[in-house]
Amino acid sequence: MKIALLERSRGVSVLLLLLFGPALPAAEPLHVRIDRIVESQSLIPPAGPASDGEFLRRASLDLCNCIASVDDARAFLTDANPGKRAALIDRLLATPQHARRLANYLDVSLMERRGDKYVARADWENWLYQACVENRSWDQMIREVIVADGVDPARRGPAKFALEREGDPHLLARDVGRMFFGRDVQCAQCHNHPNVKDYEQREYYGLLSYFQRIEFVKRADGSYVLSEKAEGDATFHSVFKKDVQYAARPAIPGKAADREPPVKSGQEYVAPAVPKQSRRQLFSQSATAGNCRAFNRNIANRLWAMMMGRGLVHPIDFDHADNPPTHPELLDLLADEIVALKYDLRALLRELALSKTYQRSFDPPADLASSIVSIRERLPALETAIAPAQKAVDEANEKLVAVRRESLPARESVDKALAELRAAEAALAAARKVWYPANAALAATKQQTQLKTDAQAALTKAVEPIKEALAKLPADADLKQTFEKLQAKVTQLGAELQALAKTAQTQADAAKQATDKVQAAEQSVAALNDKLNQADEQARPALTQLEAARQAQQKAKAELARHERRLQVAKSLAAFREKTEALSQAEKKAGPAVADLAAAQQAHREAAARARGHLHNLTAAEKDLSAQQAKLAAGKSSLQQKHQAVASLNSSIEQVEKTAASLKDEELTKTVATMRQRALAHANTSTEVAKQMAALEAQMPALHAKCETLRKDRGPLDQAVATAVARVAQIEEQRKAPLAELREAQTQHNATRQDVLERLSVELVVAPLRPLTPEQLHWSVFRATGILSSYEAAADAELNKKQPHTDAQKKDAAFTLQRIRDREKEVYAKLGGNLPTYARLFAGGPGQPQFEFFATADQALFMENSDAIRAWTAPGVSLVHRMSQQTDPAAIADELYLTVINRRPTAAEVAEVKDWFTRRGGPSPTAHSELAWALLASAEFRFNH
Amino acid sequence: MRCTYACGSSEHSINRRRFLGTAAAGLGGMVGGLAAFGRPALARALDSKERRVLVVNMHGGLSQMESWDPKPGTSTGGPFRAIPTSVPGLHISELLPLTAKQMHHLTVVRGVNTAEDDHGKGAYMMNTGRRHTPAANYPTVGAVMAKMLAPADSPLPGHVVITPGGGGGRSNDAAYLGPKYGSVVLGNGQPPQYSARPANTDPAALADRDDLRRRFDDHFSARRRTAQTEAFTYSYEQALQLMERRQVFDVTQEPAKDQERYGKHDFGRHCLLARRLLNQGITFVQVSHSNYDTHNENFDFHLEQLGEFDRPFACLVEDLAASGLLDHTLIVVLSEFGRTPNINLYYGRDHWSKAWSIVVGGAKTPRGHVFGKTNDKGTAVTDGQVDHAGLFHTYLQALGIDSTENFIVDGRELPIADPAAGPIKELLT
Repeated sequence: MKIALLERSRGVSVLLLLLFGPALPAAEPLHVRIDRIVESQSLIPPAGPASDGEFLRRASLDLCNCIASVDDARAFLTDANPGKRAALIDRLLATPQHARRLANYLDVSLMERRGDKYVARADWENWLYQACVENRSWDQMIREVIVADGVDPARRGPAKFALEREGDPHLLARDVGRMFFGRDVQCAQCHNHPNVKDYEQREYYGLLSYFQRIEFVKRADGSYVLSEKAEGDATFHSVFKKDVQYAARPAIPGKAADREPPVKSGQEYVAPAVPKQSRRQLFSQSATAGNCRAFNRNIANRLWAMMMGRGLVHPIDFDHADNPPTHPELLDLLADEIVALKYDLRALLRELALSKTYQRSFDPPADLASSIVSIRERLPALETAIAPAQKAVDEANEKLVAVRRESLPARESVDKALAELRAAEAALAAARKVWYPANAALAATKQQTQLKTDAQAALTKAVEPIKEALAKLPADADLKQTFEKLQAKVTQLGAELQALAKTAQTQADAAKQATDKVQAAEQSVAALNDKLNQADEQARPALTQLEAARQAQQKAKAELARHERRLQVAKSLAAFREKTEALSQAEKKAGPAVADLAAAQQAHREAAARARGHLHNLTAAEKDLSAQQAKLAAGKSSLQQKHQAVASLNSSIEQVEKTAASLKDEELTKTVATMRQRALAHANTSTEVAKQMAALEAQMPALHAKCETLRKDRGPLDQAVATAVARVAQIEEQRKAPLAELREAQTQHNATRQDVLERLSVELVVAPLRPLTPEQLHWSVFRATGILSSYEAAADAELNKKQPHTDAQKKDAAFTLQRIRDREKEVYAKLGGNLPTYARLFAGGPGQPQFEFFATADQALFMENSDAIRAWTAPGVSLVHRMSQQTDPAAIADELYLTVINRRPTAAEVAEVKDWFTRRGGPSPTAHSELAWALLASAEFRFNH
Repeated sequence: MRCTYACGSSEHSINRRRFLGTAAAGLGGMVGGLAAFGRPALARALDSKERRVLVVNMHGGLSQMESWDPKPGTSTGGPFRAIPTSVPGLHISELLPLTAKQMHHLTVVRGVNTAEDDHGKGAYMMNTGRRHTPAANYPTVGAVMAKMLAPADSPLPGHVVITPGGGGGRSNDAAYLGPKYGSVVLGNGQPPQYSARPANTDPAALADRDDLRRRFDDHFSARRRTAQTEAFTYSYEQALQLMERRQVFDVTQEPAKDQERYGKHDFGRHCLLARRLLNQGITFVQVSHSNYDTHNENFDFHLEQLGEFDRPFACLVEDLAASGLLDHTLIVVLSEFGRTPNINLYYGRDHWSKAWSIVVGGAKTPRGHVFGKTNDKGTAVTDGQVDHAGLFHTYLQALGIDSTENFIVDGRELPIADPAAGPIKELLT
């Protein structure tokens, strides 16, 4: 199966090359260009590549949401193929788990765990999963999400985005700003953003305008759908300047406002609640046209964050001039490339994964110390670079202020034209409000007229033959009465028709008037629309200049930030070097004290291990003793009961025998014989049991003695521990000063080291540590404990039972892929039910940012005490069982580390495992279970590195 | 601008502690093994001056007429009398005879006008100090207090909500402050979820297991240590300490005579548990008394409900005052709104948010005071009108927090309390 998959993935990469080969301008692949930009910006040579095991774990988590299986880990580590990393990336990208991972990332990004009140989780997940399996492009996905209305039950999934937000225009504007443009413009709802000059109220209302006309509609069955109106626009004013009112119009951030040609009255809707000009349609086209910088930057930055743990712009929804990207050229490159790739997410993820930047080690660069020496010399130069960068920012600021001022008349004339247009549109809407009922009334009257005219004609026609008949039968009074009745009806209808004609005339006049008004209003709207278009045209150069000035300012600010960051990195490196030197001095000084202390500690450790092992034996011996005692007690009581039974049987026999003798009853005599036999049998077994009891009893002194000895020996062992502790304390006291100095030096060294590494990982020079997402943690716990593999095996067996996998099919890549997908679906359906537990403990709240780390006691309590974790690490279960199959502690450590961390243990870690077994009185199912738990609960498992 | 509340500052202090505690363990073996001697130094002495908050939530909408603002002898006043209290001139409803004797510790706020008659929305406003808007979600007063006041190195949660029933777990009420400050829910006073060791486990073996986990962590952090890995390893120490101190949540450990005094019913137990938690240094505790939504038979229900409320609440105030804790513990008795002065056909009162009362006490609030006034029939505020936003500022200021500052979350400045409002000076000494 694996081979088939590899073959297929080779096919996929050929396909990728075919698809995207021509789009790449140079022969140089994107990942090489990424690395060049990163390395050119770095102060020091970057860290080397991560080890194979670490790379495997990282790529498996980032691309498939789960650590690798122990078999895959073993295969990858022993694979000698130099191209194995690229092959792994392609293999992972072709798995259904990758589609699931991307779907999960998009789900959490777009829904922020808002819950499933209006659209079933399965509908949404299936839509996302299918889109990711097909590798649907991002622009296409966004278009589907934005225009979805939830009406068709089969296409309800994509409507979740708006339905779970109850179609609220403000919430949609805010989240669309954050999620599709990386701009949290919420604070600009009430006024221009107080701290973020980039975010203007106008931008917020530009976005709002697309969603302003949405309606959240309840259907008869209680479910909700979205509909849209053809009219309705917002106005806004700053809470600080309430007297100036502005009209809003749809505009994508950073782009010119969208134009909307006027719609003829009567043609506003193509179907009920479906406007001819849908604002949501307008958004989906305008945002995804490929020319929206913010849209492109956002998705590039989000994919970067998905792979690297941190956005180039961080936080990912706060892209503005004062929060510039760490690597502006890189973000520009990625934003351009994602367009060139036609928004193919998988293709970009592949390039990111192939880069050296992604594959770096999280250990510091090997030659850090020598790099630092040169850094010190460069400090003054780095410092002097700040002032010119600051000056450039000041100039860019001034320029922006000036351009903004210059563009004011043009912007004001646009505002004015827009306000006039909106007023005319309001007048048109008012005129339509009269026009529609006037036309409707006239139509109703016409219909009535037609109805009555037809009736009159029919009656008149009917009256004629009666008239003739009456002429022949003049005496028929009834016939006469009928004739007169009908005649009167005809006359009445005539009168009614006259009245209707009058009404129709009045209504026609009114309708004509209304039509005139509507036409006049339409003309005025058309004229003002032209005027707005003209104003837009005239303002365009000014606005283009303004946007250019804005971008120039962003660039200058990013440049300044980069210089400042470089200086900070250099200073941090220098501090680290200083503290490293101080530490080595302190180490020298404290050398003898450390040696003494280490010896004392080693002695303590040994004494403690002895005492612990002894205690373990004692507990076991006491357990044996009490088990034996319980057995004896139980045996004695059963023996006693047997004796009593035999005694009463015997006394009964005597009685019956007497009676039998006196009656000479044969039956009774036979009974006596049977009873005798039973009594004898019981007496015999009693003797047997008594013998066993005696044997047990004979063992008791030895058991007692063993316990006694162990108890006696305990005192001295505990005493030895106490002595060792006292010795350590004594050394601590005697060597207080040098040890304290050393500890202080170590603390400072650690702190500066941590600081340097944090900074270097922001610079992309060292890989960062990042927490597993709740989903990654969930799947990885199942993978590490072996539960996932057993579910996969079960699903395979089930599928093979239903539809056997023939040898011919095993060679068929398409069939194999389908089988793998079916299996994944099966396992997801079975184990996915545990996801909410992890989300509840490890995820942010609904509607809150989801990529923040937090560690709380309840998470640790879950790992410590929950039944679930206990069951999965219980003796005899999967991983723990496999560990128990080994006897050599080194082999056990190997199995454990490969399974849980996807790497081989170091010598120190093997020693740690050996030490553990010593302390636990040798390998045992419980000791294995506790060992597995400890690694599962460790920081190394909790983080992606 | 000053950024004293910037994210991460508390994590920093934790890290430093953990550093100092186990610095020796990370020395690459030179002094290795010191960690085996004991846990990181996080066992802390309880500082009696630490600031705390008790919120009593009168769920459903307490009638101000039958409690803090009685109007006997008027067409709206209902059948109950007003009785004198320990504060000369201050009268409250006769349904609260024991609370009346504690009023010299408290202040009645009679001019509350929140203009919101919906349960959910009213509760949201009183809990967060803001009106709910679809595009923004705000942290509750408990989350804000935990963030601002809870000691970073405490193993116990800073934000505890005792609910009348239901399960445990952590709530999503901290909004942008992050789940760390979300309330730990004690369903019907039960201890936190997963805080008990499973049956049939050997404590010594489990301690060994945790010791091994620490050793694994030490190996790893010798390679790489970040604020996040530190916070992670610390969370286990917190969990272990919490398990050790699980009796903190066990109200049956309180003296029998106190259990008798507070009453054996749920609310009595919950109030005594609240006292226990505050005594043990938990920053924010909320208890709820349910339910006051008396559209029918308002008077019978208040007679019954307040009959249950009066004793444990009075005991709690008395005890907090006697222990001196009240000097730095804020008490708030709130609800989502009050009830209509008009008595309906079913002898009930309906939702009423235009003129109702709450009670505050302790910390920097005045003692034995009344602020605000309603007219004779209780239909309008005539003096000292306040709303949810001003009260929220006041709670914070009463504990010495500058409520006009901002939180800095992820580079974003978010005002601690509604910037359009400010604290109520008359409620601060």
